[in-house]
Formats: sequence, C-alpha cells, structure tokens
Amino acid sequence: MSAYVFTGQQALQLEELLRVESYRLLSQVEARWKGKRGPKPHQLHGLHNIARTEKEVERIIAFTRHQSGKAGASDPKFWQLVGKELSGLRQKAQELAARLIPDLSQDKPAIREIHLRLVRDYVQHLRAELLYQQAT
Amino acid sequence: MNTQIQNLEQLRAERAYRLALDRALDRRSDKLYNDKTLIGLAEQARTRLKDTQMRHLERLACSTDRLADLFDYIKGQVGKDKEGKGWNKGGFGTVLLNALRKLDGEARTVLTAVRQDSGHQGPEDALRQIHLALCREYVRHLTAHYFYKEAIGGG
Repeated sequence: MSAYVFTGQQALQLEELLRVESYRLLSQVEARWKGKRGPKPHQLHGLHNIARTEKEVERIIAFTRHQSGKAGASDPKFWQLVGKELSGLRQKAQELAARLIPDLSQDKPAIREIHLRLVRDYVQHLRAELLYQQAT
Repeated sequence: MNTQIQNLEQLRAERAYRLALDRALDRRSDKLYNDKTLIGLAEQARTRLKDTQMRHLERLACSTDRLADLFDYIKGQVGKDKEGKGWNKGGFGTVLLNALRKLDGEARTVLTAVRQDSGHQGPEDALRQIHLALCREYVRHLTAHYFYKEAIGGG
C-alpha cells in the first residue's frame, strides 16, 4: 500500500498536532504500564526497530501477535496488551485526521499514515518507560 | 474594513502575548539559575556523566520540539545504565526527570500571568510550549554549572 504524503500547510498542522499528542501519549504510557517491567531489553529494542522501520501498522501489530504466540514466550500477555494498545490508536488517528480537514476522516491512506506516526511514538515512549522501570 | 481592524487587533494581542511570555521566561530562567536542586545535580553530573553526554543532553533539549523526546531520552539513558555508574548512579537520572516534570507547575504560573498581562490566551498548547521552554532553560543552566565547576576544578 502506498503511503499518504502530507504536504504544505496540512503537513505543518499535522506536525503540530502530533507534537501535542506525543506528550499525551507519554502520560498514557506511564499510567498504563506503571509498575510493569515488560520483556527483556533486547525484545524492547526489537519492537522499537520494527516500529521505526515498518511502513504499515498492521505489520507492527502482527509482530506483537507473533511474539505473543511464540512457544516459550515469557510474557505473552504483554505482547497482547501492546497489540491492543497500538490498534486502539487508530481511533485517535481518525480524530486527528478530522481536525486537519473534515473530509480527510474518510481518507483511509491518510488515517493509516497518522496511525503509523502515533504507533511509532507510542512504542518510543513504551521502550523508554520499561527500560527505565527495569533499571530503577 | 472591520476585518482589517480585527486582524490588526489580533496581531497586537499576539504580539503582547509574545512579549509578556519572553519577559516571564527570562525572569523564571534567572530564578532557575540559582536553584539548589539544579546546582546539586550539576555537581553530581560531574562524577556520573562525560562531557559529551552533557553536551548531547543540552543539544537535544534545545533542538527538540517535543517534551516527550527529552523525557524518553533521560529514561532511556537511565535504563541503559545497568551498573549504576552513570545516569542511574544514586538516582541521578530520576532526580533530573522529576525536576523537569515539576516545571509543569511553573509553566502554569507563567501562563496564567502572561494571559493576564497580555489579555491574550495564547496558542492551544501554550502550557506544553512553556513547559518545554523552561526545561530548555533548566538543562542549559545545568550544563553551564557542570562545565564551570569542571573548569575551576571544584569538588
């Protein structure tokens, strides 16, 4: 699937919305994962790498399903929860899309692109938060 | 004609907001410079961080538009320090993180005052922007104290 490219004023507005949303997502991650240690650091790095490099949200979510289904997975519930959280960000992506241009809320490629950005942000916050909790 | 007048009024109000904000941030920055926690952190940083790490923190704080990036960076650095010899030594990273988070309260005070002074509400995410600006000032002062102490060979 080809990526949607935001340009001009729309791109600027989107960056602004994502900046604000990033801080809100950080608070969400901290509240959601408080007191939880998550998987080993290398697995968190793996998730972060996948999120950074994959161009489709579905592949990132599929990765979490794959991790949860692995034989001998130490914490399948963690991966299930992460997958659920990442899927849930689609709703926020639709809201943000609607704020850019009302018609955009029907534009699936645009919503997918915003969803991808939110997922990347979420995973960045998640990795940092869990590494921090494991160390402190 | 009325639209032109409204636009001019809007521009004046935004300018008044901007000026009031700059003044308020300057005052807060000067207060932060002598903050005891900040000075204590700078002392601790000298036995925990390398010069390059300090510079990197400063560069990140001054270049990012996202508060979350700054907090994630510090958390990540603490997380990497498994041996507790650097960012995680004696809870250094946690104290710094908490100090930066607490600036949220200062940001609210600044925003209230600026809105009163200028009669303008400011942008939608004014609070986040002010919080980020204060975090930048905090990290700049931290870096300055760090390198000053190093240069005079204190401690």
